Amino acid sequence: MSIGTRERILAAALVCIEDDGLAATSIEDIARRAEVGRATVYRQFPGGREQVLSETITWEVGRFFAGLEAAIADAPDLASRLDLAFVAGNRALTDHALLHRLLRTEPEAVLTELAVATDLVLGLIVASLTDALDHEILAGRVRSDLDVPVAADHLGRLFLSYLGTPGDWDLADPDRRAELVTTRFLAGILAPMA
Amino acid sequence: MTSVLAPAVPVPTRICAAFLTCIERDGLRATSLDDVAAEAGCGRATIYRVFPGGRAGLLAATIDHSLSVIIAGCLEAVDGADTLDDAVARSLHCAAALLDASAALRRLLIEEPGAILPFLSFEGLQPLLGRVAEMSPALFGRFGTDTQARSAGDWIARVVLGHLRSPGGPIDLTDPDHCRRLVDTFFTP
Repeated sequence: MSIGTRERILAAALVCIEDDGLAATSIEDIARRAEVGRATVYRQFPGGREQVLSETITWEVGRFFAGLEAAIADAPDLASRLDLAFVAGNRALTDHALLHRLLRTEPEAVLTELAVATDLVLGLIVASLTDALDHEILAGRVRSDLDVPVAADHLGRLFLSYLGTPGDWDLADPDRRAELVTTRFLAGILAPMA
Repeated sequence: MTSVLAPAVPVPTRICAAFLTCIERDGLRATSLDDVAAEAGCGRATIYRVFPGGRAGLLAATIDHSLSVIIAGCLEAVDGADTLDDAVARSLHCAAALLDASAALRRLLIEEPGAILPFLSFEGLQPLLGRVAEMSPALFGRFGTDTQARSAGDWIARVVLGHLRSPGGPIDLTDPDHCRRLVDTFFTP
């Protein structure tokens, strides 16, 4: 029951942010939208408005990461995982109207909140890459002498960098995506051909 | 207190350096253009004349100035490099060390990240990557094509900024050996 209330408040806060932006969203707005009392919001989020908004952004970023995880669930190898993650991530970012609006109207506020959530997502991506690299080493596709924690950390940061700011890399183009994954992610770590 | 920089230093550079000193000392929010003017030893009107965008223009120019300082450091660092990999490892370490030593940047990222993140995130990062691409041939051009040089600069910028935005993890870019191993394993021009 308590988890349901918490999620209802987060969902309500997200709708408020969509309607009015971060700065104009108050605890009263969130409580009204969630159809709970102010006291209930404070009971769930003792840090008040700041905590609700921060956790709402983290919640939304968590949904973004869950989408990535779902997209790569059946990928047979690291190259496919990275490719599918770029497809899903790029589509989610491109289509995220709220993110684009907040980046235009309240960049400082949204980027400050996103920075915290991005650190969490980086941790999740690095954990996912660690598992994938261990699996790739066992399969003989990646060098067995690879320092997996270093590789996972490096590739995780690069993934977020190219996803957020692709530059000349058109992530909607399968050929360019394949070239990006091959040259920037896999080139140094693949096992030598037998 | 006025700047101790030599009078020969160009006025825009002096103003940017003064702005960084003020941010380091007082934080961005508490720094007024009067403070910057006093630190730079010029009048407020001079700041508006040199940076017509006012405070926002000054911040953008100061980020660009900081990038120029980093590139100048990297140019010195690659002077004795023998190969592209060597030059990239030296530049990676130099850029990370200079950013790590910037008290103003550290204070901004901890206390007022929202002020600087628009320049380092999503499409807001593109102008900075563009400037790095412009300057990369000067750094790495003697080791390969301009395309390879720009690719090297882009890789360094992404790695350094990735660590700047999310510190921690097993890689310490202020350690030259870590930089060298990272380049040896992952860098392909």
